[in-house]
Amino acid sequence: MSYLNPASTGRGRSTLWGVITTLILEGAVVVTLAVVGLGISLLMLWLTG
Amino acid sequence: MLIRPNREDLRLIGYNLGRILVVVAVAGLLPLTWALIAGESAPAASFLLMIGISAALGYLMMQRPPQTTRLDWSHGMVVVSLTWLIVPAIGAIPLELSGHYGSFIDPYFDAMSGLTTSGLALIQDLDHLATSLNFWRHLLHFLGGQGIVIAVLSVFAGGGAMTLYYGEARDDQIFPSVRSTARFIWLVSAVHGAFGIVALSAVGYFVLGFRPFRAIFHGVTIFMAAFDTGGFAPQSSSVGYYHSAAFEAVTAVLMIAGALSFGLHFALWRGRRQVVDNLEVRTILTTFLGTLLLTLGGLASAGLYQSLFGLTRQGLFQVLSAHSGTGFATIPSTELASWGGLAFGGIAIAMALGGMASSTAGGVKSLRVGLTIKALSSQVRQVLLPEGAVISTRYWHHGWKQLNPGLIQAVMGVSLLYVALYVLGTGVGLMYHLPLGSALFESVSAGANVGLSVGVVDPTMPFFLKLTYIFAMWAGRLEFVAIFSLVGFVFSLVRGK
Repeated sequence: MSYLNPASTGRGRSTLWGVITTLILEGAVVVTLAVVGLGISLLMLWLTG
Repeated sequence: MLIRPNREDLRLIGYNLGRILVVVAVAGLLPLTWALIAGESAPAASFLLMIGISAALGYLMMQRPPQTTRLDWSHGMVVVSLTWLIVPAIGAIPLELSGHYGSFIDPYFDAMSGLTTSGLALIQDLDHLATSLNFWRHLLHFLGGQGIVIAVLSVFAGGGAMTLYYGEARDDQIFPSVRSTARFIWLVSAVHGAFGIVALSAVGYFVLGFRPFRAIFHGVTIFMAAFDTGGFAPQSSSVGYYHSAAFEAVTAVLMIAGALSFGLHFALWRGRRQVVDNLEVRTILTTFLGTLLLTLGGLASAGLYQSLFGLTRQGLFQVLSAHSGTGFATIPSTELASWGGLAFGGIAIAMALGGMASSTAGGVKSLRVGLTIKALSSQVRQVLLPEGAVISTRYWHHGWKQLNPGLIQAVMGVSLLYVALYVLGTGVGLMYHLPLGSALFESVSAGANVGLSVGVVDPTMPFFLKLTYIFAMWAGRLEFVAIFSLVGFVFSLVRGK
């Protein structure tokens, strides 16, 4: 078990803004995964003829 | 010597269970309101009955308050494990009365699947289920994913509340108090809910041409199932029903959000290091890419999808759904069963590993996988180095931490219990002459609370197999400790002095 918060919400930014930032990052992860997935698929299709 | 619990212990457990049942009754007001707005009178009556039973039971249990409301570890664990047995029984009442189930165990199976965010379903003729009942199925996901006890802690947090929090298999306390941690979890859910419901409803309305009420209905239900890594969908063909890449993309964002630990949700925006050095992030990225490689490789070699876009879309979505523990599918179970070989293995491994600890996902969890690999590599280094050399292994998880024998033992213990749970379900499946692959797949899906199926989970499956999967979903969600505590408690009631 761990304890994360040293009693601050971090660098003067609000918790709400932090969660919204995280949401944007999650969107970026999906785009990255799609690009990586396309790359792997292309490689696999090429390898399997 | 075992100490028999006294009346005060039983009152304390009963009192806390009562508080939880009152919260369940309050939650039941939501589908009741939905039923009244949608003009669904029979479901409205069944929700009223459920609310009445839950509130009456809760009220009765709270009539004999204990002298102290402070819970110790054993009380908290027993309350949590009993909650996750009793609430599905209450939640199954409107499902049973819907007339969409063939056997009395089926609605309990679905309610347990909903609450544990598994997503396996025995409901019949889902496509004609009343919208309020469909909403209730998905609300069970939301209550279970958030942690039903979290809901109670947000309102009633008192002495010993931490035991309930950890009992629901959450490790990260984000804020100094449990109540503020519970509220942070609600904030994360609210922000994702606002985004998810608006985005999914917009796709439904503008892209798929749904009417406003229908678009919102699908937005709300799919959000609850995706963010809480559940897997129920309002129709039998799951997310494949929408035939929309945009809808799948929004769902993917929500599934990823659900698979992240709430601690990471908090830590992510506090600095790059929280992500880059985090053992759990590194592990989940590695295992995700590994299982994606296996799945896409298997699909490409089998020649099931000829186009680059089709192969990527089907492979990526199914792996993401499996690894996050969601269980949404864009293909029918018969097509998933036909994948076979590498792709089948890739999906099964992704399901077994699961998402992050302290998230809404199930499975072994990435932190345990990462720590196990660290421990094994440390052992190998110990063997290779000169005798007497001391190896110190540390890892980053919200700060540098030392890998110690106690932690390794705990991690290995729970991981082995997951393997044992998967084997148990597979064994029972084999007992009923299921093919090994199907028996393993469904067992992992139930034990890891995923919900993907190759067609075994069906109203006609044997009664004992249904019971086995119910147990697997319950044990997998609570990560065993609370269940062992319940067994110990019952044993001490009988044999204690």
